[in-house]
Amino acid sequence: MARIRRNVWNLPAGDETLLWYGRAIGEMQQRPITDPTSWRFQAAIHAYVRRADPLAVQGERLPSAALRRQFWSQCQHGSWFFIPWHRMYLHFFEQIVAAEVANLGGPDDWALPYWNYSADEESRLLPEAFRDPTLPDGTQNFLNVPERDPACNAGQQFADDRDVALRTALIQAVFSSSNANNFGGFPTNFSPSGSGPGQLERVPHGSMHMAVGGAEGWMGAFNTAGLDPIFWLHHANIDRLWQVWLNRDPTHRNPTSLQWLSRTAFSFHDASKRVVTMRCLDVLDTNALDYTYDDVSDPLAAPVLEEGFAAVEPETEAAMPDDTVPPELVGATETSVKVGNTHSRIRVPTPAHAAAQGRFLDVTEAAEVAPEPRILLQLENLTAGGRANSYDVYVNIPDGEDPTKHPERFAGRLDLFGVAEASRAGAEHPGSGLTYTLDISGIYKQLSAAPDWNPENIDVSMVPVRNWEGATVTVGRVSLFFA
Amino acid sequence: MSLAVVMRNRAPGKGLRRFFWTHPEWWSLGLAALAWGAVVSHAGGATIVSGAGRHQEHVHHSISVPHIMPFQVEFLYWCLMVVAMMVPLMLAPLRWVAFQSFRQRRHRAILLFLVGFLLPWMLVGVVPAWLRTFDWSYNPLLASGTFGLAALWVLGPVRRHALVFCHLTVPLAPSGWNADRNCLRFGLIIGASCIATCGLLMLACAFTGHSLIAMLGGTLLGVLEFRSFRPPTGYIFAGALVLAAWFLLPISSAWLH
Repeated sequence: MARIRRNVWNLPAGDETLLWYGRAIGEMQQRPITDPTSWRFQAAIHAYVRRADPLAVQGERLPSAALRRQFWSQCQHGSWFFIPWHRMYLHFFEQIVAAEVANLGGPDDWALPYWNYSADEESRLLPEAFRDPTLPDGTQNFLNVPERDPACNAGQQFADDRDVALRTALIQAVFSSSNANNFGGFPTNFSPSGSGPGQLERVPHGSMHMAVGGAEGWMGAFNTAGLDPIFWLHHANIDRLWQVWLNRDPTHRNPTSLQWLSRTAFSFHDASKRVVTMRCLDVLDTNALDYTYDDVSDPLAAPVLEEGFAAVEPETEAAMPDDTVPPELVGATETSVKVGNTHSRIRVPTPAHAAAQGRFLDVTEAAEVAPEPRILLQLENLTAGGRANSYDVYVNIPDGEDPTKHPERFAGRLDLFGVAEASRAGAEHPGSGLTYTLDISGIYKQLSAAPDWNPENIDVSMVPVRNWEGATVTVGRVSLFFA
Repeated sequence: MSLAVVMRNRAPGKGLRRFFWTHPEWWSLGLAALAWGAVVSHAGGATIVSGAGRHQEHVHHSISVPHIMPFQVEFLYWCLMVVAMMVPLMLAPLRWVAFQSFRQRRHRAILLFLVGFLLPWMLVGVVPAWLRTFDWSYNPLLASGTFGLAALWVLGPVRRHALVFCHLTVPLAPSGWNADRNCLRFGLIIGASCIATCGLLMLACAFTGHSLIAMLGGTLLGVLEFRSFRPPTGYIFAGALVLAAWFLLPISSAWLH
């Protein structure tokens, strides 16, 4: 009988799923970091940097360098492995917690709940069981960590509609492609911080990491995210959305490339501490992993909470450009730009717009089917010395006007989850920072129809999302592509 | 799709035009192929596939009159070897600089990247070319030992960091002197990282007299490694050791006799 992962907000009164989760965490936290079933080892699988470990104890023994290299800092981001790798990660974590729950005398079919924050405003709040540092009986509540955005633990709204928006991710026609129009990320090799996040990885995944983590919380950094118990419920929801995407349209399919399916393997420890190696091929069906979700219905079939997007998003599924033709550069900034905690405006000259469009159609096989190229706005090599704010990106906001008053010019949200780690060259990252690609075809079409349209440049506005001071972000280049 | 579009898509030259559009790096691979051709034609004959056999000859010669090449010739071989072995590994960054540039600048961007990439390799190449002007450098023990060192180097943290750094990307200005400088600088950075990663292996290949076995083995290891942030370190280590053992064979067989 498969375990059933349920929405944390719909657990019936008196349900003990979270109670047992907390108890199991308490036990796992007692174990040394060298134990693969310990809480810290599990978090380190995502990412680990000794100097950034908030629970480090001077003189403590770490696993051997070879073991660390094989099992720690394995998280896949900016890549088509993002979704399947996290499914594997959660699968073994759930096994370990379930074994501990059973060991403590709890139910044998314990399953990790998921946090569906996109249903309505209330569901965006942090579930109550995670807010208080102590339980009603005065003992420690292991589901709570103080290292979160203060509003989050206070039971107040800390995320907005755009943080939990599902539409952009779910309407993608393909799982992976080498342009921005995909659900699951760009094709890459093993990739701890690739430059091709899929739409799901960007929002709601990255945006909710940053919303919960706030200025200093654990969820806001690769190295500490797994230490927060809510991390696992957040990722269970991301995992569920993979199935939602597959179910909502029969044309939605997983990649068939062998590079994705079988050529890249990842190693984990199971509940009995045995090493298990898995490939994407092994995690395509959740039933084969002994779990299902209580709800994988299509949230877009009903009205969803995404007022800000309605004006610019396509009415139908995103048209698929010919992925075998690489996008063509139309314009870019000459130098890098520093962006702080106020609204920044960046002018992008686009001298090649007309020539590019003509040549592009000439080599595109499907010219008659998709006569208009997709317009991609790329923000490249975003780097920062510390945790940075998230930014909303707008295009061509009239001079002196407030971008937030122009939802029709909203291009997308940059979560910047992991920007500090991706900016530092080291054993896991080359230091290139993060790169985001936003599809602005709808806005571009709208703008180009206006009588005062100047195709020689576009203005990109970056507006900080959260009300805390983040590190200054260096945007390596802003560019425009036709795809 | 209308018949007109179908006919246009099948028009002569359409496929070729599409190929050149989607693969602007084609000529750099041609360059590597030419370099391989030059190396193979130099090696020539039956001995080209037998590194051990060839070195047996060298061992024999080193006792009497070794075939010592002048510095310029050795340096030329080094350059050919680098182009043949390293340029194919650069496919990803070559395509990256091309598609981050305006269409009319793509080949220029590739060229400048290659110049930047090859420059540090050429500078480093002076050392093996000079060493090869001494007859003691023809001792297969030196080649074998350098492969052994390369195998050990694979296990070290410096090399691991350098390999990750090989996957760096940097923002490129779209036009003008800034764009040229960015491409050149990017090539220099990747070239320097590549030396830290593969330099010892290439040095060992040079000490084998640019043996085809060594070069093919080294290229295979490079391809295995460069396609991932997390290379199969064990395989690379073992591969370098196999090469070390291969070039030790002539000495051991000489001892046995």
